Amino acid sequence: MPALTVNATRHGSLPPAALKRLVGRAVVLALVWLGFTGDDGSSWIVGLPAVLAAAWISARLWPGVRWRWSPGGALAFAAYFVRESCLGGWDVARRALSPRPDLSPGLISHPLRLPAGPARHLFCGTVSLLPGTAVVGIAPDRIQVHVLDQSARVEADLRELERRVAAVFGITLPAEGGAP
Amino acid sequence: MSFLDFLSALLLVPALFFFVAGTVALLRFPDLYSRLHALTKADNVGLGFAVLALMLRAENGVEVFKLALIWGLVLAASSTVCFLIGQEAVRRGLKPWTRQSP
Repeated sequence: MPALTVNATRHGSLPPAALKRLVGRAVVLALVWLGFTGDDGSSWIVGLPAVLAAAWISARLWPGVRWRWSPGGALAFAAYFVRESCLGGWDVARRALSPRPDLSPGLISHPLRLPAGPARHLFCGTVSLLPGTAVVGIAPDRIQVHVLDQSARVEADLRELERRVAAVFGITLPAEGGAP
Repeated sequence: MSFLDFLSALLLVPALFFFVAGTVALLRFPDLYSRLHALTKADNVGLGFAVLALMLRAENGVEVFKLALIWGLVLAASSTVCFLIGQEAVRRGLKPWTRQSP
């Protein structure tokens, strides 16, 4: 599957590049606003300042990096995400509705193998939506995860999620067991 | 009642179930951390089914797009807020509830 280059912003952020990034983000956010409000022109009284402020904050907090993604990996991830979300919802429902809440929670530490950037953001963002895991801390090399059931195969599930996120961005992960 | 309306009503049943189950979990789970699971998982799936049901009743493609956008934004916000609350709890030294006796 060929990987597409989506954001071609250069690393050495010259002022023109920064401006381009700001305008690009503002256009995308304006389209989102348009999607919400449709043809209601007066909504832009709120929308325009909101879009400009969001674009400015976004460009400051997250300077552009080069990133690629693979459409096949993204589709597979979407299907996996929907399935796991349903399992996660069902898991919570089952535990909540059982006569005694069926829990043996705890905190675990999971070493990160994905590179910093969009891949790691996607990983940390989805861990909390999948069955039995919620991110409660992010360090440069590991995340802290609260699990509902310590006996579950959480570690294997997180590895699986990592592999699938890596496939979305066309990343090759370092070998298993690299970090202690 | 058209077939689509019927299908839409049918999808609202699991939506309702997951919202109720999520609320029960919120009330019954023992500590802050496990309650975060109730909010991020059951409610998201409930909203997913509700959004699907409403998409079937949408007047046009723009409404379908709008509903999908709402779902995506709620997922992102839910996951982010879950992390921020959990992180602050860890920072304040809140110990997670553990099962004492079997």
